Order: sequence, then C-alpha cells, then structure tokens
Amino acid sequence: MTDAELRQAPAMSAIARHKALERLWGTPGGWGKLSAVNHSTVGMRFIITSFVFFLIGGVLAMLIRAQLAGPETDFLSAAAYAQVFTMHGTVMMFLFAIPLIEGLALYMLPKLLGARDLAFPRLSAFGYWCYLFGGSMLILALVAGAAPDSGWFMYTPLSSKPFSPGINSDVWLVGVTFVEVSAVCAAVEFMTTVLKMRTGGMALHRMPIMVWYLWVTAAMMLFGFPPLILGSVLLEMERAFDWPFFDPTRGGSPLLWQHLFWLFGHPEVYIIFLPGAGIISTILPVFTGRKLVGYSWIVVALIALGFISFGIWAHHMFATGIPHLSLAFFSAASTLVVIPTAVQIFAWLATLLSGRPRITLSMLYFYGFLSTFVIGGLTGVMVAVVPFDWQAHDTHFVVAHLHYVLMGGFIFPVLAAIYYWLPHMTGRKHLEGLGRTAFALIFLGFNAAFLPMHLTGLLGMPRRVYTYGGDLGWNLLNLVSSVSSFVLAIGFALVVVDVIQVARFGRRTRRNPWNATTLEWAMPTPPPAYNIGSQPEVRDRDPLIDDPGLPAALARGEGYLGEPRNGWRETLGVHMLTGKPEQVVLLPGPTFIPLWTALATGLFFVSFLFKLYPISALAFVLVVICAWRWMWNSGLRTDAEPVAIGLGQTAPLHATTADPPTLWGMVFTLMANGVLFGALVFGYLFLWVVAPNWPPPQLLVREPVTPLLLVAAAAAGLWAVSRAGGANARGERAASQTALVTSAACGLVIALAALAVPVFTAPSPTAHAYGAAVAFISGYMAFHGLIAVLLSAYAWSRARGGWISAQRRVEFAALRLWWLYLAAVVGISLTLLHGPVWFS
Amino acid sequence: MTPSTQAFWRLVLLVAAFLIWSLAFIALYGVHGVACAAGWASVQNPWPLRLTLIGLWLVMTSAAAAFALWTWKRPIKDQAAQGFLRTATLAVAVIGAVSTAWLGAPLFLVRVCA
Ligand code: HEM
Ligand SMILES: [Cu+2]
Repeated sequence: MTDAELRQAPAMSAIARHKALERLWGTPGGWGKLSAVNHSTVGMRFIITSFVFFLIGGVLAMLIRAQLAGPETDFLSAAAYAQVFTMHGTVMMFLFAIPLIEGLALYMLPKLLGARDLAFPRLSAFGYWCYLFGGSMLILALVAGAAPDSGWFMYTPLSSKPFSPGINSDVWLVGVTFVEVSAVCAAVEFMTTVLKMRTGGMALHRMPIMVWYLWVTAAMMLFGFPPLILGSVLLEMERAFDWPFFDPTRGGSPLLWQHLFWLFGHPEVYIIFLPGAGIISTILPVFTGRKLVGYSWIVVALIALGFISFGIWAHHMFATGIPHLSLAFFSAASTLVVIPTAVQIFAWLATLLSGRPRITLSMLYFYGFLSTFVIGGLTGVMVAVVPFDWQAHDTHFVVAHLHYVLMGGFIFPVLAAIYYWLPHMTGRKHLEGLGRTAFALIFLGFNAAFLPMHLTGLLGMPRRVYTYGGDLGWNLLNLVSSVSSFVLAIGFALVVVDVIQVARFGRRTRRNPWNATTLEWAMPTPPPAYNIGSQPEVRDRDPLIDDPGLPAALARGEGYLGEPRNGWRETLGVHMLTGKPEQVVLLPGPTFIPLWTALATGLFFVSFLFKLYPISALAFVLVVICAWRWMWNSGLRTDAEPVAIGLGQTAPLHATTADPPTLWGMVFTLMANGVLFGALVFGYLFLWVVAPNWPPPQLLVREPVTPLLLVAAAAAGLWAVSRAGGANARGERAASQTALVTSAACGLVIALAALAVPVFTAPSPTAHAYGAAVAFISGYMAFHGLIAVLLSAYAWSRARGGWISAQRRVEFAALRLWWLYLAAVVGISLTLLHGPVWFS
Repeated sequence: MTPSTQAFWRLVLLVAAFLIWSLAFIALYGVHGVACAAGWASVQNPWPLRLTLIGLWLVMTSAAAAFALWTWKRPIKDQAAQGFLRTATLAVAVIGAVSTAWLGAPLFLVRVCA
C-alpha cells in the first residue's frame, strides 16, 4: 500500500463525522436515559451519586460532632449514636469512596487509553444500578430508624443474632453485598479493558501512569472484595438460618469474621489510596512542566504494594491474642509496605524539585495532601507498633489517624482531580478565587478538627462512645474539634457551589488549558459520547507533546476506525503487551437489560432481607432469564472476514477471534470467584485449627458414593466440553451439540450429588459449625454445577441458532474455563470434606 | 497457546516473584498456626517447628532468588514492550526475593506458639 493510500483523505468532514458518531454512540432521551450504557454517562452518574452519599455521610459526621461538642449532651441517645457512627463509616467507605473510584475509572479509563468505551458497557450500567439500589436500601433503613449499628466493621458477636436481634445488621450485610457486586463487576471490566482495549501502539510502557494505578486498584478490588462478600454471606446465613459459623458455643469462631473482614479491609485502605496517588502522579508533571520522574519505578512499586497490602490484614487484630509469631509476620509485611509508598513520595518530590511548579488549585490540594498524608503516615507507624496499639486501640487517636489518611490520601487528591479535569468534563474553566477560599476552609477546618483528636485519644477518650463526663479534661478539645468540623463542612459546600456554577456559567475554554499530555485532552470538550473521532497510533507515553496537531488530525478521521459504518459501535482490541491492533471490538448500544437484571437482583436481596424465600427463588430465576437474554444479543450470526481499520490495516471482528474480551471477562470473573472459594477454604481450615474438638468425630461425613460420582462427573464434563470444542472446530455440528448435552448432564450430576451430601449424610447445619461448613461447601459445588448446566444449555441453543461456527467459538472457550474451575472446586472440596476423616 | 494467552502468561511472569512471596507468607503463617493449634509444637518444645519454618523459608527464598536469577539471564526476545517489561520483571523479581527473605526475620527473633 502506498503512502498516499495510507493517509488518504477521509470520506467525510470532521463535522459530519462528529454527527454520525454521536448518533451511533449517544443515549436516547426521556425514559431511554435509563438504557444508557455509555461509559461517560454511567461514569458521571456514579460520580454524582457518590457525592450525594458523601453529603449524607457528611451530615452524619456533623451529627456526631454536634453530639460530642460538649460533655453529657443528650442530643443523640446511645442507640441513635451507634446507628449514626456506623452509617457514617459505612456510607463513607462503601457508598462514597469506592463508588467514586469506580466512577472516576469508568469515566476516565477509556479516555486515557484513547478508546471509545470500556470492554463491557452493559456491565457498567448493571453495576451502577446495583450500587444505586443497594445504597438506597441502607439509606432507607437509616430514615426508618433501622440502620445498622454494630460499627462499620460489624464485629461478631455484637452483630450476630443474640446481640443484634433487629433487622439492622441484616440491612448492612445485604445492602453492602449488593453494592459489592457492583465493585466486582467494575473490577472485571477494568482489568479486561486495560488488558485489551487500548488504542493502537499503546504498549505497556506507554500507558499513562494513571492507568497503571487504576489497573492495580482494579486487581486489588478483584481480590479484596470476595472475602468480604463471603464473610457477609456466612454471617447472614448465621443470622437468617442459624448456621453457627461465628458462634463459639457451637464450633464457630468470632475471629473468623475479623479475618475475613480485614482480609478485605486492609487492602481497602490501599484501594482508596492508590487512585488518589495516581491523581497526584498525573497532575504533578502537568503543573511542574516536567515528566514524571521514575515511571518504571512507580509501576514496580505499585505491583509490590498490591501484593504486600494483602499480607497485613491482621495488623488490625493486634489486640485479639493471636500468637506472637503470627503477628510478627504481619509486622514484617507492614514494615515492608512503607517502601513502595516511599518510592512514590520520592518520585513526586523529585518531579516537584526538578520542575517549575505553577500554583493552581489542584496544586494547593496537592500540598494539602502531602502535609496531611505525612502526618497520617506517621501516626500509622505509631499504631503499627504493637505495644503502642494496645494503648491507643479504640480511642479517638485511631479516629484521628484514620481521617488523616483518608482525607490526605483520598479527599485532597480527589479535589485536585475535580479541578484538574473540570475543563475536560465541562469545557469550561473555573475562577480560582472561590475555590481558594474553599481550600483554605477545608485545610484549616480539617486540621483544627482532627489534630485535637490525637490528644483526646491519648487522654483516653474511647471511640464509638456517645458521650463523656465533664471532669475528664476533654471539653475544650472536643469543642474545638466540633466547631472546626463545621468550618470543614462549609468548605465542602463551597466546592459544590463552585463546581455547579462552573458547569453552568463558567467561561468556555480551549481544549487543553493545562497543556497536559495524555489522550483525554485530545478529545473535544465536553467529551462527546464516542470520545474520539478516530483512535491514534501512539509512539510515546505523552502523545500530545509528540504531536500537537494530533487532536485535529484525529477529529479529521486520520487514525483508526475513523469511518462510521454499519451502525457499529467500534473500538480497537489490541495485543496486551505491544498494543498492536488485533481486533475490532463491536460494543452493544443502549439497552434496558442491565436495569432489568439489577431489578431482579434487587428483588432477590430485598426478599431475602424480609425472609420471603419463595420470592428469592423466583428472583433468582428472573436473574437467570435476564442474564440469558443479555448474553444472547452479543456476537454474530455469520462468519466475517477481517475489515479495514484505517491507517492501511485490517483486523478481524472480535467475535471471530480466539480471544474476544468476553473470554478475559470470564478469566477475571473466575479469579474473583476463586478468591471467594479460597477464603472459604481458609475459613474451613481456620475453624478446624482454632475451634476446640473440630470437627466432632461423631459428626464426620464418611460416605464413598457422592465423592465417586462427583469426581466421575467432573472428569466426564471436562472431556465433554473439549470434545464439543474439537468437533465444532472440525465442523461436526451434531457431534458438538451432543457433547454439549453431555456437558449439561454432567453439571446436573454434580449439582445433585453435591446437594445429597448435606441433605442425607452430613450433620445438621444448625447443630455445629462443621455441619454448616459442609453444607455451605456442598452448596457452593452444587451452585457451580448448576451454572455449568446453564452455560452448556446456552452454548447448545447458540449452536442451534447459528451463532456458533468454527470461526465464532468463544462459547466453548468460556465453558471450558468454567469446567476447569468446577473440576478444581470439586477436587479441593472433596479433600476438605473428607480430609478430617483421614486425620481422625 | 494463542499469542494472546502467551502474552497473558508473560504478564503473570511480571508478578510471579510476588506470587512466590504470597505463597511463602501463607505457608509460614499457616504451618505455624496449624502446628501450634494441633499441639505439634509448643513453647516448651519449639525446635522441630522452628526448624521446619526456617526450612520452608529457605526453600521459598531460594525459589524467589532463583527466579530473579533466571529473569536476569533470560535471553531478550525482540518485542516492542520487551525493554520495559524486562526491566520491570527483573526489578519486581529482585524486590520480591528480598521481601521473601525479609519475611523470615521474625523466625529468629520471636518465640513460636507464644
Ligand atoms: C466530613 C468530615 C468528617 C468528620 C467531621 C468525621 C468525623 C468522624 C468522627 C468524629 C468519627 C468517630 C465516631 C466515634 O467513634 O464515636 C468518625 C468515624 C469514622 N469516619 Fe469520619 N468524619 C468525616 C469524614 C470521613 C470520611 C471522608 C471518611 C471516609 C472516606 C470517614 C470514615 C470514617 C470511618 C470509617 C469511621 C469509623 C466508623 C466506626 O467506628 O464504625 N469519615 N468520623
Ligand atoms: Cu490496615
């Protein structure tokens, strides 16, 4: 192909292209807005909703401070205070911080990658609805006076039935799990997107640093949330059906909850902190006019941090009497985690010192971040020292530390990000005056509110206690705290006012007012639904330094996929390492199916909450039907040749390749699932080790039939699915379909055999935690067998309907992965269930 | 293996050193917990367990070190991302090995099962 053909004049003008793409990627108006799947739309909904929850959490904080302003206040009763601080913590962590991060990533990730959308747009929408519904459940409970009141980490036995008989704790468990579902969906989507859906030429080392941060964050969400989901499910099983996982009188252990919670909870701190740090690493180079120092080192540090942060969960449990050596391992890992954090701080300081910092609002928040975070880090080191922790544990010292870290590591960077990306999101620029006043109020108000808490904590003021005596010397410090936290609140209110007035009335600004270098600034502002007229071939980490004319060229369609065609929503799929274009991914348009699926899921959770189990069963069926409809509409009815993608290249459509994004979605879903199962294995072994006389020998399951059946069915299922795939590749359609039927039958055998264990042979799940564990593990196997049936049936119908051919074959790959996973689950479960027999 | 799966495993290699680290962490923590709870070791009779743990730790640390050495020696294949990927893998490997070694420190300082 000649050069002239390569850079051939595109067929349409930039305006015509804009109109055509906008028609393709836009969201309908009216009720149609509920069908939006576009990442900018859904991302913005996430962001705005999370700020609404921030407002609610903030009002709760004000109630707390009003109550603590003086001694012996009777503004809130002890019971109301418990609900208020629990909900404050829960809302801030689960309904504000995490969803805001998801929203930010949803909104920014494709733009940073130079892509047009995320890998699974309908999943984004589904995640949003789950978040909205789950969050609303919690808030409704608060309004009804039935909010959770056992603290944001819900320690058992306080949160278990005898001590919290009301519905309050159930609301937490069900509502938060619902919201968690959305976090795991987001994590799967982000993992896949970064892996496969970048623009051409964006090799790993050319990804903007923010993408690395979000990628590591997503990985941590993928591995961090499942233990909490498991813990919540187990605790809810205990509360609803009296399965005594956490009851020490029946072979359970309350410590199990603490382990599962902090297995999530400590990584959670980094899940919140990393995006904040990513924002810092993004804006510093822009406002100092200097490339980020130590890009590769930061990437390496992030990887290390991602792992190490999981090895410290028990440092929240120093006061629980775990053997010293076990704690020492956690202490060793805790000291280790300082190093990657230090690497980042040095990289920032080096960038700052070698550049010429401009003082903008974002930079003010950066300085606010730096000072606050350093204080939070220092007090963190103090509480990481075991003897000190025994002193400060559960006092306001911890409250102060926690807020220094969260405000410093998260809120300040987020405010910096708001002012940084505001011109991108709105196409308008703010005036600095109002923003600076807000900054001053926030910074001063925050420090004046929380510094004194270090002192009250050291003086012995316990956290979570609704009032205190007037003769303890805590009065003045608390008054200062309370007054200052209102100053802080006014600062936040000013930011809200500022942002709204900029979005409404701000002065229009040019495309890239900060002279930033990443691809989101190559897009029109505010960004159109399709993001970018055509996707660039990048040769550098900072494409806009390289080629200042790039935005205009892309708008003229001089990149990849610049010609709208066939009503397709197209974006590139690339090689994971090199970013070489490999496929054209066709994305789905607006649809109500995510909303229906989320409603069905919501029905499941709500009916469960109110113990209407037949309705829960019905809701489960509805979810399956929705999921079926959902998947059915993707893919192609006929084989297709590779298509032109611009720049003289061609690529196959994703449905005709060996590894469309769907497959990676399956891989990451199974990883999350595997972590959940791993946490289950851990829980089983933990009880075995910790609880006395566990399992009671007279209760042991000894029976050879079901294990044989399970192993045989797993092996046969694996064989069937590989035969189905092989026959399909050879064009033997009938044989392939028969093999799929076999696969479904094997799944059914697994489901039934697994269910037989708790029904016929195991001890009653309510009598002893061992029985409960056996029932739960068997149920897990049965559930996965059932899904194997459904997936096989689905593949079978697809094959019958002509959606599958030797070329279009992802169903087989996905089903095979499922079977591999299921077989592993069967093997491990059987070892767990029958292992104790060998030892007894 | 399709080129894509190959690329995926290459990414797994990038983090492999910390997979070893995780394994070491789980093994040390798990074996110690089980042994103390099951009564195979106690404060009075610490040496069998302590030696087992030290042995485990040595195995894990050598595995991590061997992996680092292997990444160092690995021939360079030419690919666009290879320069960065190679350096990053090596750096992660070295840091992972040091981190794994560091996990063993408490074995020499703290009493088992206390
Ligand atoms: C807006 C300013 C804020 C104020 C004035 C404030 C105030 C407080 C106070 C006084 C407590 C201790 C209650 C007690 O133990 O008696 C508390 C707890 C807590 N706060 Fe905040 N907070 C604020 C913002 C935040 C933010 C932004 C987050 C997280 C992103 C957060 C997360 C938490 C958590 C997790 C707890 C622990 C709740 C529990 O003990 O269960 N707070 N807050
Ligand atoms: Cu922690």
